Amino acid sequence: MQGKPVKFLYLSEPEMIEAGVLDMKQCVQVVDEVFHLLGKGDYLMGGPRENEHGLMIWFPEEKRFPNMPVEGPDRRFMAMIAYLGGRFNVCGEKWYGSNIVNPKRGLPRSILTVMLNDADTSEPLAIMSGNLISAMRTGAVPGVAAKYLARPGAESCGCVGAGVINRACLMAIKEGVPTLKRATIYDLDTEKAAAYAKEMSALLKIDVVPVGTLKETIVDADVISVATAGASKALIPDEWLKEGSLLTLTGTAELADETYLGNTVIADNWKMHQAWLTEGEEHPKGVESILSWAPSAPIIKLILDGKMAHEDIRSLGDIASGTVKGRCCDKERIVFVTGGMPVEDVGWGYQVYQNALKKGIGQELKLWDEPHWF
Amino acid sequence: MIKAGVLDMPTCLETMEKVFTLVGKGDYLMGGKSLNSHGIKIHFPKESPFPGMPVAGPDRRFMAMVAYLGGEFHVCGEKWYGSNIINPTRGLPRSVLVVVLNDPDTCAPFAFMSANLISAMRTGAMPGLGAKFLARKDAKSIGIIGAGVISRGSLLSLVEACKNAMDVKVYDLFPEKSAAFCAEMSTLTGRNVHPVASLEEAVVGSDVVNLAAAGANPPHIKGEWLKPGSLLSLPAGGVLDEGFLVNGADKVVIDCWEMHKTFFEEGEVPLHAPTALTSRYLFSHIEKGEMTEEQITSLGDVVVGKKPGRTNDSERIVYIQGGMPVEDLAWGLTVYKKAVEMGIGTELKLWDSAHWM
Repeated sequence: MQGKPVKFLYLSEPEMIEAGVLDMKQCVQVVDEVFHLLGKGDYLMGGPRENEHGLMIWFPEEKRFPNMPVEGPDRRFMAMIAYLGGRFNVCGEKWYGSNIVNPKRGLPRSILTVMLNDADTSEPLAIMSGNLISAMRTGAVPGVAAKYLARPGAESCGCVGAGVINRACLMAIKEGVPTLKRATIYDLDTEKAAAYAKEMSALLKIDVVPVGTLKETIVDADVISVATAGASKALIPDEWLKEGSLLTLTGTAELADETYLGNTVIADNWKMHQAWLTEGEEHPKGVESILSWAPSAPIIKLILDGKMAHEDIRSLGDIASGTVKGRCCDKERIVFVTGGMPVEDVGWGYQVYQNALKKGIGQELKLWDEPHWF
Repeated sequence: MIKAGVLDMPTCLETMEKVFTLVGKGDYLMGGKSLNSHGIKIHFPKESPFPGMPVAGPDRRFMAMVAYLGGEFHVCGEKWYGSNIINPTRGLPRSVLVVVLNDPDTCAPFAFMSANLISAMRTGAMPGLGAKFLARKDAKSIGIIGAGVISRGSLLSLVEACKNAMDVKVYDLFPEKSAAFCAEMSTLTGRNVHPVASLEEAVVGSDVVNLAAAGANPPHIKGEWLKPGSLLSLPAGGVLDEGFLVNGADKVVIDCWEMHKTFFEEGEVPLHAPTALTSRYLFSHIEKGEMTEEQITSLGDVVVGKKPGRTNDSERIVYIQGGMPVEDLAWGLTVYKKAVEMGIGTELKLWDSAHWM
């Protein structure tokens, strides 16, 4: 039999931008579609539980060999794999590594690539620079959450952390909450906060104001977006959260137990967080092995202490697809936790790939004209 | 990849020996908390209410295999692939694979490579590496079961390791496949590669037997067929007599026991499926208390001399391979370096300057 040629599209970061990777309106729409599919169950992620976040290379704590990398904040390599159904019907992967010293050498902390493959034949369809896919889809998630969970008529957004991710989050929240009129930004680094405010005011055409304390950004906000990196976590006391507020945690914050226990808790996909817990339970070092890094660790601790149950936590996909109710009333306070999922990368990556095909952007590469062995 | 020497088996075999020296010393990391995960897999469901969702089938999966490899390699990377057994009917290999190599420090990718031949060659090199340490020095005959891509690679490495093995018997369910394999491999190896009519004939009297047959019903190798002093190499699934690894084999060697243990802990080894890795037998024996982990030797330990390989000419040794991402990285990197030297490949940019830092 004649072998079949295999070609795929390579998209660099500038080509991704040309193909619309920074279009938050479309990204929120696509990520919303992804959550609908999640709610229906038309997706698969890695592992026997079909819900794993990914597979990580853990660098050891101690120097084992002169060149072997050692553990550090955000230091890892990770492969996140998924099948996404619906109109996407595609398999794919995000593969990345992170090193916190990268920005000093002119590189982003994480360097990511996304690959898409034909779900049936497994042929690669695209290899793409993944940094902007990842940043945009991460930002889009709180936007989709806000669409379903923010108080109707929400006007104010409080942003904690003035980095790239929170830029994307605020762009998305504006998409999800068209009534949004103003935002505040708090960052330990006041210059960064000022730059953020200026840039986002111009971009979104709403008032974005830097504030001097964390409290100021929280107390007045209908929607709060926490997206901070690094070791210092924002400490948010329960009484700061106003009635009817939605707190979205893209990074981690330190919340009082009562905030989790006394309010509605919704996750991007609780099954994935459960897969983390199961992984921890099966690990020789036990659950402790996941609590240091899992974004849902405070909730998992409350569950292990018997104070919360898995059933108490709803998943955004179930709300988006209408199988589970979202906000019950204007007074309800909601905490939304995310872990990030490969289906989001595959979904948004696929859309940008489709845009690129339509516009004739990117470089066609061949795997082979005919496979040497088959 | 071909121009850059991906099909060069002697160099691939040397490279795999370097890899297992590093594995024996511990200068590598693979995925997960155990640092020894083979990879992460998309399991397709047996049935699905969604019309587009792929369903389970033999060898049907997507998988990402990630690793760091130290020593002279010092590289991070992964192999990402999907498999569909019906691919050959549409002009495609069963699996379509890509390898990505990354700088372990900055994490920047420096190569995307077509990896079908990387994978086939590194898989093929492993029986030869095993045979170097585990076959009788005077091995004269080789039995090859399965006439596919993995068997091609395996035979290329076995003839490197077994310089005196002039007689090569080949069995495949499809005689025309055996015939084509024999014609091609006789020319390539200069050995007498000839088809035999039954599985038994391929095994009986052979000093080294290599089983690499894909599909839903892997062949059953009867213990009584294996002569004293033989090496049975298992790069893929296979069926052995119940209890053979305890009562029949004198020694069990495996590419990396820690990795197979992780497989098992992750629930990736279905204990009773004939298509599963042959390490499934070891878990059953250990579970039943018929065997201890100490009775299992990892190849890396043999290569660095921590544990003995073959100790006499009458031992029957079974050598189980699961395949490791460190093998893909090492062979991928070696071919990449050659390509850079030769000026082969398309240079691509991720960016000139990152849009967002």
